[in-house]
Amino acid sequence: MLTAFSQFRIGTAWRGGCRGAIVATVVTLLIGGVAPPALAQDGVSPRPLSAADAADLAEGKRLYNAQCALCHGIDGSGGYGPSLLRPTFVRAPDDAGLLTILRAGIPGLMPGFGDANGARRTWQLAAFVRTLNSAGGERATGNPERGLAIYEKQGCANCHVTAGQGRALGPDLTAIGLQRGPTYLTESLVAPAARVPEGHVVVTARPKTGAAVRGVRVSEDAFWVHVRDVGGRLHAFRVADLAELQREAGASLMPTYRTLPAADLGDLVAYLASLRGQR
Amino acid sequence: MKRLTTAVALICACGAALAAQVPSQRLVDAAQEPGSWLTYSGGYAGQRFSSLDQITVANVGNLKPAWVYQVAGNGQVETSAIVADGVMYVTEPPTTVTALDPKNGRPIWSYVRPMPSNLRNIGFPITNRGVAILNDMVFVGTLDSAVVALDAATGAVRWETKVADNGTGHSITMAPLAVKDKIIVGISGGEAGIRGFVDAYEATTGKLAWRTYTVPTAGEQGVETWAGNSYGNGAGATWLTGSYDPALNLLYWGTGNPGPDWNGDVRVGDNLYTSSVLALDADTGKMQWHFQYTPHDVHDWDANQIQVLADLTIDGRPRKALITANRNAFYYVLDRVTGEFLHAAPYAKQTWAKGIDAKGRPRVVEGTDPTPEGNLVYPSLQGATNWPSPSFSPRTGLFYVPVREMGSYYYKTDADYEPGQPFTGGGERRLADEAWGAVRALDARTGAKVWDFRLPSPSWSGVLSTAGGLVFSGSNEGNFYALNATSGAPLWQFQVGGMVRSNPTTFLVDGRQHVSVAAGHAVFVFALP
Repeated sequence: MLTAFSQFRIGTAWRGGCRGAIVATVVTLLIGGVAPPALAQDGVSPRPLSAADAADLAEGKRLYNAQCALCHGIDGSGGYGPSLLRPTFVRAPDDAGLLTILRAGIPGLMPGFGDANGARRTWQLAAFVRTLNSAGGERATGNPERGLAIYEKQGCANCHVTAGQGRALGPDLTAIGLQRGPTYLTESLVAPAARVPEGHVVVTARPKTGAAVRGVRVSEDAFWVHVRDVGGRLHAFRVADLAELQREAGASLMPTYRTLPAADLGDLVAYLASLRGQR
Repeated sequence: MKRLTTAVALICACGAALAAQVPSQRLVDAAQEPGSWLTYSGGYAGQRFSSLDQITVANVGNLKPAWVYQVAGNGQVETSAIVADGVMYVTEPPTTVTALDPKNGRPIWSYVRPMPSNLRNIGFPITNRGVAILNDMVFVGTLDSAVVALDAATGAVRWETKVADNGTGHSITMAPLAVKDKIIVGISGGEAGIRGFVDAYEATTGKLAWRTYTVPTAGEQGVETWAGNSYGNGAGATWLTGSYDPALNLLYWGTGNPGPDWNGDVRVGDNLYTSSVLALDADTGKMQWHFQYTPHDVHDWDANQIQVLADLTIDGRPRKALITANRNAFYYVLDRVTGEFLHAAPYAKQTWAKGIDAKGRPRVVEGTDPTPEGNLVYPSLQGATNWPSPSFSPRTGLFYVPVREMGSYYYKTDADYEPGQPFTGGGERRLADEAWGAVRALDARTGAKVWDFRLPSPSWSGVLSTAGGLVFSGSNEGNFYALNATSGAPLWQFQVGGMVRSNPTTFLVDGRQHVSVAAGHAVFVFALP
């Protein structure tokens, strides 16, 4: 009975809309009146996912390997499904959202697991998934105001956009604090070539006639290649007109900032981590 | 309701022109009727070759879009269009069948199947790859694991038969195959520990005529190739459309990976009849022979890729051959009468086998199994090719394969079977950065590479070849293009603005050759001006 109601509630919520929301509320109240809330079924109160202990996380990882790794990659780096190695899940910004997605899925994209795992194991799985984006729990320790001054002094805006300001040679940083954690940001500043973001591969296009162009590969299909040079100019080449398209594996156009004093680096990272999209 | 009204109006306007009548003999003779596209692969031989030659090497540069049909709803559009008697039948995710007027892309009717909220599609996206047509009905397999027969003129449901329980991960994405008076259906669920089978249903009633399991059970021959009772969740899914030889009355059906995918410790043995091709009597389902490409597969290298019938001269002797490019990166030539292994050769980068021995068994490189720490092996989990169809041109003697050049770190984890849950025992980390793709032309007799058309990433588009000397295919980056079938030189392309993830087909509309492909969230049809 409880299961049937729960499924109905989830199914209704999927379709969204006002009526669905009202029905969902009514059904939730009904369930609440005759049985404990689903999360309390086997004695687990809805604790924050961050309260998981090693045993919880071990069970969560076991479930992840069995049920999630197929699409999200064994290490969370993605496959059929998106990478989970990011500080914030757009569709599941909080604990409740993540638990809901694990139960209900995402229509057309991800199957839900319903209550097949039971409340405790669903919670353990969610807690493990949260550890994949460990950056989400990270806090930058520097001073963001001072970091902004360093950002301006170093001329970062010559290659990066924040909130509409700057030049778009490198990645847009307007919401980088939602996308990357302090550890990743620090690494990107110290060793930019270690992990080149998708869409920023460095190439040299050598046409059969005319000058070669080195820059960021903006797009490539089987017939056209677009390259943005360091001056910000976009060049379009027909693949058929190229003698060579050289991909520079492990190269980045961004200079390293490893010589910045550690405190400045920390402040710069804190500023970047504070960038959470335009309000 | 609106669509229904439209259907009625169109039927009145066009009368008999919309009432398809495709007796089974037309399917047998499909090659003599190139104006239609009557089965998933264009004919029982699985060649995806058309003898239409209006669009040629000389004029293909003028090819233009004729119309676009936009698909609603979530999921992936992987349909391969059927065209018969002036109507095109496409499928949309999750399981929607739509009849279109191929002149202008206007919808005539749609069958929309509602899906349960707890739908199980484990290990594959929400998609459908096409319908079968027979007499005055079209047939579709559903994501929630049923077969439905629809009136070809109106879309009305004639019958519906449950194939298996979706709650245990059984599902259907493949296009059924109509043979004589039966509808042959395969099943998905190889990542859910199902027991695979091929089914035949009576076309008129929907009654199950026969079922042949791909994994034996206690007391049956082949069960000794499974340790303990591991055969119980042995998988061997049958998730793509098979081929058929009417003269031999044999179906050729590929089977998928054993379960669990990447942890072979619990299923020591060859694991028959997974990662194999089965030759089945079309009337009874009885297995006449089998050939296993990858014994004891631990990399998810399904053998579901299209089996192609080709009459070839091998070692100076004419052979009724069965050829395929397997996901394990080897190209195989078998004798389709007896199942005798004739030849194999690698067609893409692979690091798991030293070669294939005289009996067709791979000589496996030690230490290439998945490990808890991850083990780098080529090709990747998705294989050197996957479900997108190859094409064989009897004119050029070339076999055209959509190739995926990619490696993966393979991981092994514990696997406990729970009904309706993934049963995989590991996974992969792809080397996506250095991966690439190609349409690769192979000499069909030897598998030797003749030419490559390089793509920026591993392809998910099928290939069509034509008597106009052309090869059509697509790219993940949205190119739909035509190549010279002899040289591989690009002759034409159109950027469709979305990933091409389907198989092209070709047919006549009012006597003029058209080419269709699904890409992004739409169906595109092209013609000369």
